[in-house]
This record gives sequence, C-alpha cells and structure tokens, in this order.
Amino acid sequence: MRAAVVFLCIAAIAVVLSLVGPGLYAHWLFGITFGWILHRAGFCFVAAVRDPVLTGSTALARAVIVSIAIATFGFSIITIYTGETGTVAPLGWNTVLGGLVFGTGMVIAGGCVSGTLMRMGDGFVMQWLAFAGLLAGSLIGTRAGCLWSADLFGPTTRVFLPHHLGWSGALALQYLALIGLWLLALRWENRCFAQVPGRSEPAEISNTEEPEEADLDWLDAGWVEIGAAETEAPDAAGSSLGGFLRRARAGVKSSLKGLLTDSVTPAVGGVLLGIAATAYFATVGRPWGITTELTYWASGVWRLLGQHPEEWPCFLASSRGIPSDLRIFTHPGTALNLGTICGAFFASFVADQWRLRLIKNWRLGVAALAGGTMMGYGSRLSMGCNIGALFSGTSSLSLHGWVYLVSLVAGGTVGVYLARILLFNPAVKTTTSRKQAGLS
Amino acid sequence: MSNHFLDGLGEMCPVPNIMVREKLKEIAVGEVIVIETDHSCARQTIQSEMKKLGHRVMIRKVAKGVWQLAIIKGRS
Repeated sequence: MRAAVVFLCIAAIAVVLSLVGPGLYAHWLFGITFGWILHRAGFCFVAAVRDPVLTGSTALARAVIVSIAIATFGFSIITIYTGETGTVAPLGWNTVLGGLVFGTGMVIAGGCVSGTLMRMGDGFVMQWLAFAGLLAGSLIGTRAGCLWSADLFGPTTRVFLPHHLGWSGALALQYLALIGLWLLALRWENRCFAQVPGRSEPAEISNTEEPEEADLDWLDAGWVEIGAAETEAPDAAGSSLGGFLRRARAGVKSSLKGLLTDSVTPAVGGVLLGIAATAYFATVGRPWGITTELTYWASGVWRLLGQHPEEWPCFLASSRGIPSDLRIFTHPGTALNLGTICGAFFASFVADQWRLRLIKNWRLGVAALAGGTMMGYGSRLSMGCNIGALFSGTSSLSLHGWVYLVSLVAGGTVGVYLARILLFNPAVKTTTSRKQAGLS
Repeated sequence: MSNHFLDGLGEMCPVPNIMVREKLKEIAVGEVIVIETDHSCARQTIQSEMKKLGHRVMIRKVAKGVWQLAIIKGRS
C-alpha cells in the first residue's frame, strides 16, 4: 500500500518535472535511486574514513572501494565510446586543503554531503542544521575564492590519467590501487577486531558454561536474532559449486527484499551505487555531483536577502556562470538533489521507519552547523565533495580524486580526534545506563 | 547475570556504537546489553560489528524508526 503511494508520488513528480524542463525527470529519478540506495545500505563516506580510525571497522571503506571499482569500469567504457570525460577538476593545493577541511568537517557533522541529504530525508534534525551550514560554507567558499588571487594556491592542472599513462596503464594502476586498498582494509579490520578490549579473557570463559542459554527469558516478544537464518539453513553451507550458487541466490533474494523493506549490506549498496552512477553518467552526460548545485542554492538564498552574488567576479568567470534569474527550480542539479533527499524519505517511509529525529543536546546542533560550514567551504576549494571529487573524480581516472582522498583521510583523522574530545566521549559519559532496567 | 540498558536516542553516529563497546568492557560473558537507538545507520553498524566480534545480537523495532538491539556478550 505504502509502496504504491510512494511509487505514484515519484511518477507524478516526474511527469510534472518533464513539463518544467527537458530531462529534469531523469535527474529526479536518479536522485530517488541514489537516496534510496544510500538509505538502505546505510552508505556513509564518513564511516568509511572514520571507523577504520575509531573502531577498526572497514565495512564501509570496502564498500566505497567496491563502488569506485564498478564506476571506474562503467565510466571508462562511456569515455572510450563517447569521448566524454567524467569529472576531471583542476588539481592543486586547493584540492589538498579542501580535502583536509572537508574531512574534518564531515566527521564533526556526522555525515558528508550525500549522507546529509540522505539523513535529511530520514528525518534527522542534526543534518538539516548541517545543511544550513553547508549552504553558508559554500557561499563563504565561493566569495573567498573570488577574493583570492589566482596564484594563491599556485598553478592548478587537470590530470586525466589515461592521457599520461594510456588507458591500459591508467586502468591497471587504478585497479591495482583499489585492490590493494581493499585488501589492506580487510587486514586492518581483522587485526583491530582481534584485539578489541571488550573481548573476554580465557579465565572468564571457564566460569561460564553455556552462557547463551542463561537468563534470556526477559527478552520478551518481537526479538529477531541477527544471522539466525543462515545457521538454520544447513543446505546453504558447503564449498561446492552448488552450495555457492545456492548462497548467491539466497544473497540476491535477501538483498532484493532488504532493498524494498529494510536494509542491505554496505557492500551491496556499493555495487548498486556504482551501477546507478554509471547509468546516470551515461544518461545525462556527466557524472554525479552535488555541491556545485548547492552553491547555486546558497546564492539564491543570498539574493533573497538582498545581496548580489551574481556580480562576484568568479561567478562571472566560471564556465556555467550563475543564471541571472537564478531559477534554481529548473536546474537539473535541483531535481537530482531534491530527488536524493526524497529518495531517502520514501525509503524510510516505505519501511515504516520515518520519524522526526531530534537532536539530544545543543552540542550536536553546534557541531552540525560548524561541520556543515567546513564541508561547504572545503567543497568549494576542492571543487566537489565525496561524491563530486572523490567518487566521481577517482572513477573518472582523474588524479585530483586520489589526491583529494589522501587529504580527506588526513582531515578525517583530525576530525576523529577532535570529535572524540568534543562530542563522542562527553556523550558516552553522560548517557543513561540503567542496570536491570525494565524493558518494554 | 544481569542486563544493562543504554539510551542512545538522539545521539549522533557513532556514539551508540561507542557506548556499546565501552559497556562490553565492563561486563561478563553472557550478560546482556540492550541499547535503544533511532539512528538507522548506527543500528546497521552495531548489529554487523557485534556479530563479527563474536557476540549474539538480537533486534526489535519498538516504534517507527526506533530499534532496540540486544547484545549478548560472547566468549569469542
């Protein structure tokens, strides 16, 4: 029932958009797709950078690598056949500084730009605040960019790897790097998880016979054990080809079900995002990007307040310029970004998981605003966020995407240390913890 | 044998996860932590990580977008 209503809403808006401007419906539908996948997979670039440092988990990091690996393949085919290169932005110190600022900001804000859009749709008040910060930061970044002399960061250059290494060289290097990083991430997680202090000491084990059987009577109705289905289905086990196929079929089936009703693993999300991003590039002629449009939104708001950002020299100089009427509602990027927010909302609504998720205290509000502003500013420096610069940049075989990744990780690490002191530790200390709490 | 309740409502990611990890250090094998969270991503992260770390994990939805996760400390 819900699914039918949502489907009709999506279709109706697509029809309206096709009357507003050519091709807008496609951007809208892809936005829905991106938002839906991000939500279902809990796909989070922040977790990909933060968790290896914080907890040692690399599930999201590996999922991001998978998505880039798939998109690289798709983007390369598109570029080879159409001659259309993807996102190859100017590389320079601006890329490095942008990644650092963005990486720190995203950890503090609890989501990067795509994550912010997704969580806005899911009802997180914190991410609406982060979004306000994002708009402000984009505007400040644009204005600051106008004031800088062109050579403040030294010369910038666009480095499209196949031009320098040839296609086979560039692709070989790209996949070598991706596979290497994936294996490194897996090893890192195994190492970290093997030495988690929460794990029990051998002495404790001998004291406790079959603890799993003990005292679970209070766990009343409605509990579902995670992973119980796999252990209860012995026919899915085995290393034979038949067993593998059965497992693969079961995996696809449960992923499809999760995609419609609840959640899928980050890895599945990564595969789907890689495919969807390739389809988007093939359809509209340029890779997925979010923040350039957000800059237009911010400029539009600024104009509503009586200012004239359209007269800033850098806007006049930029290739796309700023439309003098600033009719952002007819921009493809608007349909795409609103689609991403709505896609996450619809995904949450269909699963009956949507709620207004209030922030617990003022601290989180300040963090969201500050982190959002840093992300907005950083994305103007590096000409893109984790989507435009990292995902689309690396998948387009542009060196700036990789440089951005390195400084993003550095900035993210700084962010983890800051957030630990300012946000995480205080929250963990003051949290409610009741022993023998009555559960209902 | 006792159980412990953690209130993670309204916390940002990854605070609920850290809360569980900190609590796990304090309790004995077989004891249970129940954490309540409204963070969709934290829910997914906690359930897969705790499973990987060798604990039993159970989940239930207590309201729209609010979950309780029960983590039964394993011997791992």
